[in-house]
Amino acid sequence: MSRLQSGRDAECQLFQKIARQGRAGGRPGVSQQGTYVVTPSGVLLADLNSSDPLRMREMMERGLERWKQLPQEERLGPELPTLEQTDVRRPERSYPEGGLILRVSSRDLPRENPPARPDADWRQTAWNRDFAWFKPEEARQMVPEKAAVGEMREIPAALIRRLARCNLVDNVRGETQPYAEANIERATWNAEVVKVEGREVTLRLTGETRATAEGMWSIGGLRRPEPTPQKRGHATKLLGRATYDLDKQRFTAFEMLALGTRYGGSQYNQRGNDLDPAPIGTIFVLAGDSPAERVAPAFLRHYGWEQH
Amino acid sequence: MWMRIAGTIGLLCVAAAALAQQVEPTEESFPHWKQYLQQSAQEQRWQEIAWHAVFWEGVQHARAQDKPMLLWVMNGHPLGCT
Repeated sequence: MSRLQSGRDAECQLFQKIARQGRAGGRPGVSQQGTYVVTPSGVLLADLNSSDPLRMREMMERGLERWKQLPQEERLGPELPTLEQTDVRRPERSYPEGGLILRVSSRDLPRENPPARPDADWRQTAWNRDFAWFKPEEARQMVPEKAAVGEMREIPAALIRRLARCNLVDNVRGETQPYAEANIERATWNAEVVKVEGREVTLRLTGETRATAEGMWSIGGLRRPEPTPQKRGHATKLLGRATYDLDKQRFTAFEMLALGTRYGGSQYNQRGNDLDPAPIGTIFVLAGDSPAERVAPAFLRHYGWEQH
Repeated sequence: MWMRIAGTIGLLCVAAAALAQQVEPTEESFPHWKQYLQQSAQEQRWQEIAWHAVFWEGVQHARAQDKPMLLWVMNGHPLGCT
């Protein structure tokens, strides 16, 4: 979203042309989040920033009516170059074909002592999803050299530290920030061969992570952006099972839990009145292959990969 | 009879409390937390729409089909583009 709003490539410029016609007027510093009905030529037909289904339907019907009133050449505009012919730098271009692609889902776990004033709305049942990418050679590093039951491998620290920085974060209620490398106090990840069947090796995954950060930042969203002294942290224990096919050189099954505790908040993750330590859970499973499952990890730019 | 019902409820409460405290994954609790953390079919209904994740590709598709686009841009939206 921030890329579309402030970037300079062809895709960003088309979005900014649309946003300038919308309710937020494309003003710098004002979020252009929402839903828009638009023509491929970049004419705004209707827009709204609401999750109310009735208002959404009304907005889409209004947009459709305007669409019908426009001549075809105005709706479609001139022919556009393909994505590859443009200067658009999509993070999806870094998708590691043949690697390990995990869907990452997070929720709050049941609490023994809920907050004194809990948020009695969507936040009670909030969940979020993200993705974690590993290149083929990184995935191979998770598998012990010898395919024999009982063989162990300490998975390279860089991989679990990346998960701890970028995925084991509190995004349950909204966007947050990754942890910095210096915030990672503990990150271990081990694989043990528990079954070998033909060329398929099944692994038991265990590990532990702990990240803490301290400094000045806002926990008040857009309304209270002033930085104040804050702390946040995230500690988990990992347990999982995965199967690697030595012939196909890829994982054919992967499920891993990260259960633990979080505390504190960040500017937009809606924890302003929920700062005390509370249980949180994350699950990593193999992602599918649809466009929605090939979306880049939220913090891909913190992977240290070359961006295409 | 009431004593037995009360006893059963008491045991269930103890079990539920123990589960809530159990924030370390174990082989035994794995299936429970797996189901708890994954999105339900209802929560995944938005995926019944074949969304384009790349805006430019959506524009190309809409142009080829002579159709308007529904553009959903959100920090933290379900496609994970936070």
